[in-house]
Amino acid sequence: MQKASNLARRRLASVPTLIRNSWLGRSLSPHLSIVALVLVLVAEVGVAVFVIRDLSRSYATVENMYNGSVQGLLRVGDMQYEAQETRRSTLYALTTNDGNLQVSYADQSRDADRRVTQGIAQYLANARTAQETRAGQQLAKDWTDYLRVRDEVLGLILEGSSREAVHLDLNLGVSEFDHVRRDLDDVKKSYDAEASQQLATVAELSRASMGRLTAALVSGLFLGTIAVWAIQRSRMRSAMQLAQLQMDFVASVSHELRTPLTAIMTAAENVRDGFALSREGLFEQGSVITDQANQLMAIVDQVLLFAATRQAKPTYFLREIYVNDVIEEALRSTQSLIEGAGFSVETKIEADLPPVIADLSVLSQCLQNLIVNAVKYSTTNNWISISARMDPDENTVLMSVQDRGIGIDRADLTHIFDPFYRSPQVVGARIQGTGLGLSIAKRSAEVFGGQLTVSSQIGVGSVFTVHMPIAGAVRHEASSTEKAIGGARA
Amino acid sequence: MNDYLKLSGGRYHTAIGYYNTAYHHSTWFQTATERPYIFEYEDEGGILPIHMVGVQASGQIPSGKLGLHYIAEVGNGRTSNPVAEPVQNYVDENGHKAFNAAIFARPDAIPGLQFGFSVYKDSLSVPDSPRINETITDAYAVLIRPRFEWLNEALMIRHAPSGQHVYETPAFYSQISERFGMYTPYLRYQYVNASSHEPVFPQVGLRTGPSVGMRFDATESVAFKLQYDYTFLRRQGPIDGKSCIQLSMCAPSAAAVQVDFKF
Amino acid sequence: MSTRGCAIILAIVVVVALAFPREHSAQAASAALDARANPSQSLAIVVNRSNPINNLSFSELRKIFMGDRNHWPNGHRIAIVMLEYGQPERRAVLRLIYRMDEKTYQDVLLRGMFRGDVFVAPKTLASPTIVRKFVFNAPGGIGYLRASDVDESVKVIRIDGLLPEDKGYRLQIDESSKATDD
Repeated sequence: MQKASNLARRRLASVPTLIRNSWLGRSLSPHLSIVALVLVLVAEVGVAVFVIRDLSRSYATVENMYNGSVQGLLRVGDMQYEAQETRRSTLYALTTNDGNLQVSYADQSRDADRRVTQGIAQYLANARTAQETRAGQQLAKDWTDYLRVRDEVLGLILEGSSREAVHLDLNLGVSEFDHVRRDLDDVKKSYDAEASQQLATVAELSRASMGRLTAALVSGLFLGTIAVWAIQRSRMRSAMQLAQLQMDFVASVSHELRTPLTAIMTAAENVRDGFALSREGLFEQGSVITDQANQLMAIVDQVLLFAATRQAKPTYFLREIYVNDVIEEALRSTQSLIEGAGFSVETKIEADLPPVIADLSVLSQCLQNLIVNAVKYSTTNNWISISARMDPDENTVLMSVQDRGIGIDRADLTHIFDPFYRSPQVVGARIQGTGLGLSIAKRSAEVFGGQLTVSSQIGVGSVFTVHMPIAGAVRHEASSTEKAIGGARA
Repeated sequence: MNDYLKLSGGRYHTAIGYYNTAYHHSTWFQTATERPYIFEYEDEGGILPIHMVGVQASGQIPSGKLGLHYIAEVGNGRTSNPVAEPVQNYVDENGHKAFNAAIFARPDAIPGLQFGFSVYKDSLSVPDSPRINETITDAYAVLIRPRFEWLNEALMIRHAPSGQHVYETPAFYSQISERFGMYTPYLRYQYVNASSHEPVFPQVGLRTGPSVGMRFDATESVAFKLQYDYTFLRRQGPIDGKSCIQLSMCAPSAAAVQVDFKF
Repeated sequence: MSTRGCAIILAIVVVVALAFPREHSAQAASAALDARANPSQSLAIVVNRSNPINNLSFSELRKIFMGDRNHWPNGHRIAIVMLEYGQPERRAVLRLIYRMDEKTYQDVLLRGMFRGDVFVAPKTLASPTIVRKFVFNAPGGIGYLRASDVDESVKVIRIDGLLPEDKGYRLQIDESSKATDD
């Protein structure tokens, strides 16, 4: 029993893991979460439309019922009362010998019968079916027959022939009035039936609306829960990925820092231990120390530059610059690296390229990072091409850095601009780096209103292109350094 | 039923002449203090069958401006038994019913004038006497105006016992009055002469004489009457000078005071 | 007193009495014939619209009001309606048709009801409007109105062939006559 319960508990606890590792857990991404939310919204709107339609139909049915059956029942009730009043007033005349009072009762009776006649005419005018018309005609006929008897009874009463009046009323009046009463009951029943039918329709619509609302609520709740879960999971994954990347960065940076520090330490130990007593030896060890220190400095600069791009309002020195100058500056800065790696650089710069608005040093750094990557991720083909041209359709100047290196896997293309990201291929090839270069380059292009794109093929090479809008068409995120631009133009 | 035929049944005043149907039991309606002698009620010594229990048909006779009407009656006549109820309310004492037929006219030419004629026939079974055939004929002419009244009526009562002498009793009265404001003076003269051997009412004899009086309508509901009668009786001195005061009719006393009420 | 004496007295009284009765109706009729018809002064005799009668002689009219005639040709009982005491129309009817004063009329009516000659007493109504409505509702009804008070709910009958607006129409209201009982 204890074993079984423990087993059950373990299985229950493993459910979240199973879900997470299932196709559902793996397939749910932020995009799908948004899709799920949109689906929920669409479903809710759809259900709302149906519910509104049902409510409208219910309202229309109720309105019809009120105007038709309910009002009809009220009218029939009035007619029944007035018919009774007609008869009542006639018989009241029997209770007195005062001619004035008898005439007054006769007036009451005629007024009441007039109202009944009008009610019958209205019923016939509003009759919608053959059955209603027949009922109305029968009622009219019976009412006319009763009125004929009523007139005779009234005349006999006024003439003083009370006994004959009572005799006539008992023999004819009662039966004729009974016909009228039955006709009115039939009319009332038809209204009742119509009202019941309409009530049934309203009830049916209400049930349908309730069902739809319940289904909508349940499905909305379910889908909403899934969407929220997916969004939370996506955020969690992003956070985990970022944490992993940060760990990777720390490891990579540590290793990057460690390598030159080790060389520096070795050279320093050699000097300490007297292995470099001669001038040449000292120069050699000193060169190692300075080179490695420069490398350390570059790594630190890169980290600092990355941090700078992440500032809320970084400060740039904006002015009109020409891409020729940017390329020259970038090549100058990376000359030692290029020559040291034995690379050849091919440049193709179109003539009369328009200027762009940017910070020369920042844009140059962007190009430098691309050149460094081209050198770093090359194979045996030590060739780099740097080109610049105008795109008249986009009103942009394009600066491209092309290499014939290892290329980038398609799956990694969407991640290579993420901070600290290093593709498994690169990590597997043990190529050192911080994973910040492309992130910095992309950021640098975007801050001046441009963008950085890439096209690559495994084993063939990659082309990184900086798209910079020409001066006059720029929208950038730079802080307010308009004065510098104005000063430069002046 | 219609103007030409009206049927009624029960106990009613026999349509003999005018006075019997014009004046019923209320004294307020009649001008004088009492009815003419010949029209006295049976239980007050009257000699005519004032009431009848039977069926009556009446109506107009199409006659243009003459205004003819008819009355026909059949019913139980009066009893011959002197000690029994005079009006036979339930069963006729003999197998013969009484019949009465009357006709009268109200001509358009003389407003208020009515004249007519009636014949009554019955068979009486007087104890210790053979069957008597009774025939009463009446003729009258009256003129009734808003303030003037003149009544004239004459009768002949014929009793014919089987196989015996026929006795005829004539009677008449004439009454005239005119209203002056609340006062209505009137004068009446009446006559009846029955044989002392008359088989049905031998005690009547000759009665004749004038009556003069004054009616005072104090209000529309109360009338005071003061009347003096001078009656000549056969082989008896006239009753004169005696007076009696009573609240109802008194006859054949000489004077009477009457108060009549209408409710 | 002798029989002869009584007869003489009787004859004198008769002669005197015959000289007294005053015929209001003859004088009134003569005056009415000479007057030009005025709708507010002419008295219209009205009956129910279903009544087959369209014309009555004056004597027939009198017979109806006196109760000598109780049914119409269509079998309906004649229902006479009178206006209330004091109304000029009522005074005119009493003077011209009944030829009697109010007190005598009441006596005659009472006597007739007591004798059974009058089966149903005439209805006494408060106003011409109620008279119209009564005659409208009662097939046997007959009443009287000023000609100006007549509407289409009742039918006016001719009297001796004349309508109220015709010259020579006998029934005229005399506004100067007072409401007295004599």
